[in-house]
Amino acid sequence: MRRLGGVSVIIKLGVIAVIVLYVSFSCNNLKNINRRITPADSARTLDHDSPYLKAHMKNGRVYILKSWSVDEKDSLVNGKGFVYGINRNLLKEGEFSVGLDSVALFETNVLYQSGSVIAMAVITGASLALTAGCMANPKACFGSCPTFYVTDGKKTVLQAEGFSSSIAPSLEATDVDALYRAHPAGKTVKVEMRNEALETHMVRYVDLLAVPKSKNERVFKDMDGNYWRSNRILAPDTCTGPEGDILKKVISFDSKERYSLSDTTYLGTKEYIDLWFDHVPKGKTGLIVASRQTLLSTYLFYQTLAYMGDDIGTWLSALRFQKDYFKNGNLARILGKIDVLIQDNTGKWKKAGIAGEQGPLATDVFLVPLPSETKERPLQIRLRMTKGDWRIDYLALAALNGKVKPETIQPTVVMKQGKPDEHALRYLTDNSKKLIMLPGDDYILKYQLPDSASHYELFLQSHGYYLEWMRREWEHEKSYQKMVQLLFSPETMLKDLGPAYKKVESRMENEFWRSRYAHPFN
Amino acid sequence: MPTRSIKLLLIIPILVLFSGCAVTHAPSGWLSDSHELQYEAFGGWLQVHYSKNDSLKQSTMGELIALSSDSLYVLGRNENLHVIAVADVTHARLVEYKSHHGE
Repeated sequence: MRRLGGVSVIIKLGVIAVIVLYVSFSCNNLKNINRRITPADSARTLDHDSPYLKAHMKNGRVYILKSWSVDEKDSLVNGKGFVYGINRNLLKEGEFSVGLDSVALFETNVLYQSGSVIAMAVITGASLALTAGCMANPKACFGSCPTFYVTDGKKTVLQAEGFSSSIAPSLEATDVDALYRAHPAGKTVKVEMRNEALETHMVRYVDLLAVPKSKNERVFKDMDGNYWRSNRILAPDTCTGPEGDILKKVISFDSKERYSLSDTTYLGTKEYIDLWFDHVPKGKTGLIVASRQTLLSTYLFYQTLAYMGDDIGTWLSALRFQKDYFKNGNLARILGKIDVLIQDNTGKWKKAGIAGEQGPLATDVFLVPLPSETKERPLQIRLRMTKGDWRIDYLALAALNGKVKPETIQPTVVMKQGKPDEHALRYLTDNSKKLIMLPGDDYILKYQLPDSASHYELFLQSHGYYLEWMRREWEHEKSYQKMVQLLFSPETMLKDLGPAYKKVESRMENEFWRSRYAHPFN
Repeated sequence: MPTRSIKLLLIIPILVLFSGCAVTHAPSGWLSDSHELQYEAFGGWLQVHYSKNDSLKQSTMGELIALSSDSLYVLGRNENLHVIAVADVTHARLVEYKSHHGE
């Protein structure tokens, strides 16, 4: 027996198709293959982008046809090519008409250049010389996913960064950011989406989430994806950190942030902020936290890439199988987010929820609903976070008026360089496709609201992933041993890296923003 | 179990994954590249490990001919067709074409 026909071949090729995708993707092949297996009775659905059609016959033969077509009327497939016997010996070359009733299945193969492959092709070619601002400090290069700019009523400002933690295809995810300071006029909302870093962005969609609200209301999202309405927001009466009174820094959303420096001896050391509310409204309440990360996490991320060195493709491929570990593993667990604690009846601090999103660029706003039984007056809330990892802009207590569902709105127009870009629009509104953004790409997305924007609280829902370009200057730090240590013994690494981070910490923020993308191909 | 052993258990799967990317046991010149795959008529190169009744562990490799619900058909280098019960397969690795990765 040399070849089998019928169902077994269907199973075989189906299995092959899956594994081909694995092999081609995990090894960063230059081309990916989209293989489709089609039963003979579905010949009208064959993928005509395939230059060759393979007809696997019930008798074990196979026809490989070029310039092929389907004649539905006579139930034939016509084409020019070859027919091979059961032992794959060439039987005949020429033009053939094959009856559909004798075909077990069809196979089509389309080569394509995947977005991730484009990224991998360039990911190790970038040099810090491309971004002059980060030459002095290789771990302070601007980065962290697509940036979104929306008007605040006066000028266009950075309002959101998309899917910051989605650093590999396997970590593709949805991210929702509050456009808390957005004040567009009229029914049209313009969102500018930029790639300002040496990264490749794969954007599956960017939708606007609009929640109807009354004039005096605001709407907040919590970490579980719920949206809460509030018409009463109270500032804290007292707020202290280890350094003393910090109330002025957190009392309004004004970019005057409270932050601290990391602990040199251990980058995972925790710190606490305490706040008190003298007057607490009745009913359900929640703590509003507006924050962004410092560059500690970015530094550790770039250090991780440096340890990967030119094996970065292999490591990122491995993410596919270890994504839960990478996402929720030791390092992420140690650094954590902002824990919101309240005291229980015995005076013991208890976690009410968490706030904060990965990314050092845009300040995001979260609500942490507090347990209903919170009756202590004045109300004391404690925040616990990694020292030197968070910048807090705004803290307040909201009286909650219940949950509400947002309306999802897709872009109706996408502009690039001042002209409508139908291709980009199609890709951003078809979830089976991804728009690829390279450094310097800049799109204007326009959304139409049913009513004036002032009647809505707006959020941006983006979905995708991005790939950081590997800087040549990092490659000398490649260390398999340290990479494994970082993954499996991060506490040690957080101690070892403390002094090195301390040397650059105070100037990182400044250098980071100065190193915003310069076009690499100029 | 000592901590060191636990860590090794965690590391080993990653090492296996990485080595799996680079190594193929297909005979030299046997694998097509992705372009040729579009019009060639042969199956992928399969390495399969199996054991009957948890007793003797065996492995074979060759061209994947077919896979049915209960059997795997592999054409070995000696042109012998091996028929392996799917239930006996412990693990297998199929390479469909030459990726030219790293070349």
